[in-house]
Amino acid sequence: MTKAGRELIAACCVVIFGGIIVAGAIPLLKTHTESVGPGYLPLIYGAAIIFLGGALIVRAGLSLRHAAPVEHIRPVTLLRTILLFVTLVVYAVLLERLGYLLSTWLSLFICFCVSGKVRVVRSIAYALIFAMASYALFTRVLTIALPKGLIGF
Amino acid sequence: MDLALALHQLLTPEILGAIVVGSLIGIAGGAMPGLSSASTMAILVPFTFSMHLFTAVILLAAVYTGAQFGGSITAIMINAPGTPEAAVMTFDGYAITRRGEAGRALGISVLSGLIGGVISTLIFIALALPLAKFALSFGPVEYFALAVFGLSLIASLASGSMIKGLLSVLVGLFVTIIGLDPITGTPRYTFGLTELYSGISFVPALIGLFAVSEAVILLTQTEPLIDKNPNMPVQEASRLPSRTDVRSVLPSIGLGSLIGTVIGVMPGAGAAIASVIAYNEAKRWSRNPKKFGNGALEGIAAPEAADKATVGGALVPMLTLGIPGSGSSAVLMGALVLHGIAPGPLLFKNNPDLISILFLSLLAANVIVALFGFWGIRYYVRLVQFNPAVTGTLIIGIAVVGAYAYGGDILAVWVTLGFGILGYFMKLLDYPSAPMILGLVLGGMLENSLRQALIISGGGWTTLISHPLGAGLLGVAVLSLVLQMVRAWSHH
Repeated sequence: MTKAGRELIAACCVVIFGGIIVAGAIPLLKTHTESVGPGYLPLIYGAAIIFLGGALIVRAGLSLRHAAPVEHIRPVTLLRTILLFVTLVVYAVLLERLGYLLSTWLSLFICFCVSGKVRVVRSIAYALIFAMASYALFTRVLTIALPKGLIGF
Repeated sequence: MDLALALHQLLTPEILGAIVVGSLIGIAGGAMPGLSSASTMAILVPFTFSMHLFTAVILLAAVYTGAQFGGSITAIMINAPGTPEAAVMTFDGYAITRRGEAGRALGISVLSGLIGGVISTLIFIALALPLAKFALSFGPVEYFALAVFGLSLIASLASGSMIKGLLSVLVGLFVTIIGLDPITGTPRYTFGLTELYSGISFVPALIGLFAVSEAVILLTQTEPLIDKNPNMPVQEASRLPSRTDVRSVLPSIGLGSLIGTVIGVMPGAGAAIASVIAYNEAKRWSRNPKKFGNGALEGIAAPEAADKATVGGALVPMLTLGIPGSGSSAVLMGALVLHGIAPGPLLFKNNPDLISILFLSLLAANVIVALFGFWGIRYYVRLVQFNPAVTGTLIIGIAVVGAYAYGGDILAVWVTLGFGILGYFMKLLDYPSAPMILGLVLGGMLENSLRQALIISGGGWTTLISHPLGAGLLGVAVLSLVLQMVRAWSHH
């Protein structure tokens, strides 16, 4: 995909986001009649986002006409990025269910594996050391409670 | 301000330890390619929860000072700037290193940073007190105008596209809307989730935008971040600059210090812009401009002094007006808020001890960073050989545990990861993330002051232009945006 193509997709997302903000502001405007009620600024922000997003669409559209060099995202990078995002989401889901120690160890181990730059045995060790050290630091030294989950820590 | 009391407090082991540890962490963070001073500070914020306010703020201020220098070490030694603002240092610094004179280049860098940092700290204290006293007379109209003025500068001075800078600000402003409306109590954009009623916390968002997004880049990139030079002349580090060298760069250091302080005061401009401007000005005023790019010592002195001088400059609007001058000062502001301190003119009235000790600590941090700079050059260079996958993974771990510890619930973790993913895409598409953080900081002030002003005036919008200072600031904000648009259009 060309850079302009990527910019165009991003600008369309921006406009949709602005539209959602405006849609959320309209009911607030109807229920409150003060000069500047709770829906006033969201409406302005949403409208401005749509306007600027529109400007970016026009700019990206004009750029599409020129023969811009095609930018290939390497499949490895794309795969790593997707896997990493999935890992982060699963980490957040499991944090309170499995407990801090287990979920952190598993998630960080997967992060090491996704990067492809650390050996498996070292990944297991590094992730375990970090999880245990940070758990001890936060719960014992800083006396901050972390999720205990199924196994109690 | 009681400087004698502050000096007494400064000399306690806890505060001195915070300065030393903060300086070392900052130098290490700055030297690692991929970590900026803001992200290094953001990672550390959760660790300051249980610290005393003074220790926490001073630790982060020392990290800020150290990171500015750390970025330059790798720029000079191996042509790999550790931070964006150190990129200019590669122009002449690496050229000198290749001549086998790395020690001269690093020595000038340390000295310039020290002088720049000290000058800006002195200017900081000279400017901050009168500005804070002046700001005490501000009402809602002035605060609204100030917020608009700050945001207009942030958007127009953001690197790259102005439209993207404005969009980044607007998204930050919108995020501050989420939660219960402070005046009517109406839920806004909460989608029925009671967890969102108290709004989206600033600190988890900041950790996500600065730290998690950079961790994702470190973990997913396939090309090495730096070209390691196998013939890196580390042994040359001990050869320091001569007196003649020092004398020849003093005017450039002075020039860079002034440029850095002035640009640091302007919200959103940042150290990267200050370094480039200082380099260009030093070249313009130099007797031998042709030497620039081929190993001119002035080419190191001016940007390094400007880079370090932005630290003191950026603290002026943050502490006096509650408007952070850079991403790093926004993190420092987050730490203050975390400890129940609201930056603004009342800070100088209610917490004069904090200001005094921060002032002395910044001076001490500059000296300590310089000492560590001379002593540890050959060791810091090894930091770039640290595996980025390990760095990235550890950052994610620290960010998640820090966010949970901050929020006390899973929502803070979702916010951190969500903003981390958003920040990654913003970097990929060249959307600046610093304006969003500043939008997050200023959004509440903007809305509350506007609505308060309108309630006081009975709904009359003319109140916004009836106060001379407010009207002036709004006029300058509009003018700066229009001028920037015209300039962008003419470039196009």
